[in-house]
Amino acid sequence: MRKLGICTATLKKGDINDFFSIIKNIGFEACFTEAFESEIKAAIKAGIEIDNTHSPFDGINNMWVEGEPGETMLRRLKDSIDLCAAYDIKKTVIHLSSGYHPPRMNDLGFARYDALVEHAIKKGVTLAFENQRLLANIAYVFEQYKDVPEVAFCWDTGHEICAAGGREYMPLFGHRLACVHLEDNHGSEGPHPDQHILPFDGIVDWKKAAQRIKNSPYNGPVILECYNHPGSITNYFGYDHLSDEAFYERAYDAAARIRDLIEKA
Amino acid sequence: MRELGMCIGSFENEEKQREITSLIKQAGFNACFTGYERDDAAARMACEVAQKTGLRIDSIHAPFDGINHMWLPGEEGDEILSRLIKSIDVCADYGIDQAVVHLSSGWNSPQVNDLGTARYDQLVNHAIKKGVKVAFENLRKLANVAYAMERYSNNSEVGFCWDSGHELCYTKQVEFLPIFGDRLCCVHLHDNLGILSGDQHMLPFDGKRDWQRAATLLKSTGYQGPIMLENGHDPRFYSDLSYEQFLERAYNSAVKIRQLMGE
Repeated sequence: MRKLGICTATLKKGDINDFFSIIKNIGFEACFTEAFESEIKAAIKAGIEIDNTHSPFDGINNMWVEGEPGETMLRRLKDSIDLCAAYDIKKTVIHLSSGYHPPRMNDLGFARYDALVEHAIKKGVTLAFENQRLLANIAYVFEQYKDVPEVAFCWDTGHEICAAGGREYMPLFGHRLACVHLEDNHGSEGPHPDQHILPFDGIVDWKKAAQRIKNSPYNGPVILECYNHPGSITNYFGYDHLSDEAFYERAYDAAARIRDLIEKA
Repeated sequence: MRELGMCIGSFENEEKQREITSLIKQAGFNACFTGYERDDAAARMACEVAQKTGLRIDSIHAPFDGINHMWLPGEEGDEILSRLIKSIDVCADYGIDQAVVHLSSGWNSPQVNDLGTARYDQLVNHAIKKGVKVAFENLRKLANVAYAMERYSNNSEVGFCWDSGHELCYTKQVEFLPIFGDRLCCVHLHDNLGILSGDQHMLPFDGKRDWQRAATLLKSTGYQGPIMLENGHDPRFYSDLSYEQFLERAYNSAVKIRQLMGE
């Protein structure tokens, strides 16, 4: 049976060891962490499987811009791969851009991503490129590295419905699926559409999503990328009134429902 | 009622050009697109003949032989850019709204890069100046079409040309209309057997395409242009038909697509 997982970014404050202790007690068996050694160590200590890490993405647009910030970003991404390799974590999730108007794709950025992919191959770590607002850059990746098994797809269900103008990514790249970020929202309207709320609290068609996953080669855990950050948009959904335990229980139930949908698909 | 159209090749001989164009008109078509596969004079002659015959020219197919050089350094790249620009000029001179432009050729075409971007920028800027729309057509790649649609997202002079046959034989997992349908301004409708790289340009309904779905998707985009076929009298499939019979069959297939669109 597929494991159920949740990301460490769910936790805005508090102790990471407590987080793992609570989610383990509730029944979660897997997670993805940020690229922080402290989180990785805590997950290992708690006996929670780390499916992947999320590589850094603040400043990701610098990958396409000349200068030191771009070199720094590339170095941080390589460090993130090294961290995976050091802890035998097989995959890390990578962004390609940020915002609706990032720098256009260019030779410099291609060269940097080439260097990143080469580094990942050398270290035996798969790079899972995540869907965001644009199509060209991720389509480029799957054409440019079509024969590279270390290049894969991370499907973010929430990004797809709030930021992609109705595009569906799984029919395009589902055959390369290696990671999932399962989360919900209410579409593209409003100032903060990328809500990262729990599945079934928004408008994602989870039956269809489950079918998409079932049809793909992905057999990894059902992993949520949902937040419980008091005072944020999630407050609207009443999460602020839930204790940590109650929130994670609700998250677990949502993940279990998705697992059932996948199994029945 | 929505126009029905057929592509017209470019012939060396004006008499032949007139004959073929007339037969297309007589078959019932009222729109067409012509090509720029030979030279400037031939393209202009084809336009003049089509317009004199009473066919509205929906678009010109800009040259695409050597299109990969757009992304490569060297004179050949500058030369293809120059030909593309000339095809825009032909559109402008004959009051033709749009030119269909390719972005690459073959499976191992060069990827998007700075040089090619600069050349396509030049092309688009020229088209804007001339008041002609550039319709980028789907071929084997998704990334370069997506790139063009994103790069020129604020340019109403840049649109999408949907080629039904290319989609079926090159990119079966990609449905372009749900992705770029909001930019659709041109169609190349034809069929094939869905074999990878088997771009057979058969008449609609003679191959494996699901035309009901195609019609539904087309309708959903709000596309108002003609049902435009891109077929030739290919002896591999139509040797038992005279050219007139072939055109009759083509016309009927276009009517059927229009009907499937509920019109």
